[in-house]
Amino acid sequence: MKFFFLYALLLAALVICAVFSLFVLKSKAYYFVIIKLYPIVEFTTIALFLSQNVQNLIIRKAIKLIIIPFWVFVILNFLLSNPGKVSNNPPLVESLIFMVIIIYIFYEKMKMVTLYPLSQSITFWICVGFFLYFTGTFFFFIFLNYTTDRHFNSLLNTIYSFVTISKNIILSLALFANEPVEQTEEHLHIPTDINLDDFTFSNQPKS
Amino acid sequence: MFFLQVSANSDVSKLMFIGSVGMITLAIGIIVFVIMHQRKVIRYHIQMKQMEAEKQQIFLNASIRFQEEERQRISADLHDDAGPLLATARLYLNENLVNQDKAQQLQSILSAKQILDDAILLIRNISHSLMPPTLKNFGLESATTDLFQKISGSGRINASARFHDYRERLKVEQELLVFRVIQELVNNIIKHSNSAFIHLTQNATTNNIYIRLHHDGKGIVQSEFDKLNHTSHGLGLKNIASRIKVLNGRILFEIDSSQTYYKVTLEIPKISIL
Repeated sequence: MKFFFLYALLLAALVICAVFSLFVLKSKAYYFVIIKLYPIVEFTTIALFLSQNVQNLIIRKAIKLIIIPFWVFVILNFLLSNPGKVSNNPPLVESLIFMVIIIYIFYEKMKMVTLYPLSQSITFWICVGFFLYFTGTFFFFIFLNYTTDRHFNSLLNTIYSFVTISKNIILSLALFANEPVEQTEEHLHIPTDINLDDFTFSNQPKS
Repeated sequence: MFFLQVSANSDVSKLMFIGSVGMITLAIGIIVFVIMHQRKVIRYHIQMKQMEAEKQQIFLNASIRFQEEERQRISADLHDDAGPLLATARLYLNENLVNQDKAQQLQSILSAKQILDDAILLIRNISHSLMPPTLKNFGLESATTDLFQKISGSGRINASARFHDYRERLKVEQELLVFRVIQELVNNIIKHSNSAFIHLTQNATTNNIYIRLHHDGKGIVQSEFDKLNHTSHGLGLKNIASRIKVLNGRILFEIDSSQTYYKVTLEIPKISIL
């Protein structure tokens, strides 16, 4: 839930900044800076969210660690790429990484969630939304700077819009999922303030 | 990207469109597969639970059969041992006794008395095996201390028990179940662990009573207990588990961090559901 609001907030901030730079500042340079650096924020947020849903501690750590090289990659790409163009490399890499992570999460969930259907889980539907988004926009990002042909770009935008709207609808619907609480087996928690070890190994009970 | 640049724009549009649609279809396929497969897993788990319930039913039947056998054994003890003893005593005390001389009468009465004493002892033993009198009259603390003194008295193993806070007694039914669990655990330790000492400690919180057994022999840890509890072996452990369940309590088998002795801890709620 927290993640959902954070993600929505980030998207809103992106839109506001983009609109502000384009229509108020009337500066395409600021717009490109925002668009090019946005993957850092997006990647960090989604990666942290996904890492919380991974049970395997090593993979969880790996997902968190991958954030730093991705930042370096985005910044390098920002510095080296054409300043007047949106670079497609960071979103492509981001899509690939998230597709793999989400498939792994699905695999884990398939194995571990055995008490209720996954369709009742909020996190599952958030993952589904992102999975559709990243798979659907993969080809969009490949062909992003391919041509300036109007028809082609219109098709690109249609696909992108369709996938983005689908993702946002799924993310919104995820909020209505009725996630059951997984009942874990109760374990014995012995209070630490009571004496149950009143003997020494020499077999003499302590006084 | 090079191969794309040599094609016409319409071909690339097609490629891009088909690629995107293909990716989305693949993603939907994966999602559907995950949902369907997970449902299968849930069905499998439900089946497993049903099997587990059936297994529990089998154990329950076995337990009832065991109880019936125990009753038959007690009935046999009473019929085969107490019955003949009392019948013999009756023979000594028949109507002809009045016609006998005094010496013979005295002899018959003494013999009958001896036989009746034996019968009383026999019945007492049977009764004690069903419900230890110390437990009934003086409670869990006395019964356990008594049990540990007897074990220690055998000289084979050093056994001691210490109750720190047992001011509020449990209900008699609870005490009996706890005592049976302790008996079973101690029996297992004596039979299988080859330990030199057993020590029992009791303590309590506001809601629960805790009993911990320490021993320095070969023990088991929780995972082994859970495993044995799900196999056809280890009827004693299953009895422990079912008694703990009836008590709404919990049990934990562990090895001490020093790896020198094993601990078994029982948690029994003071509020009875029996």
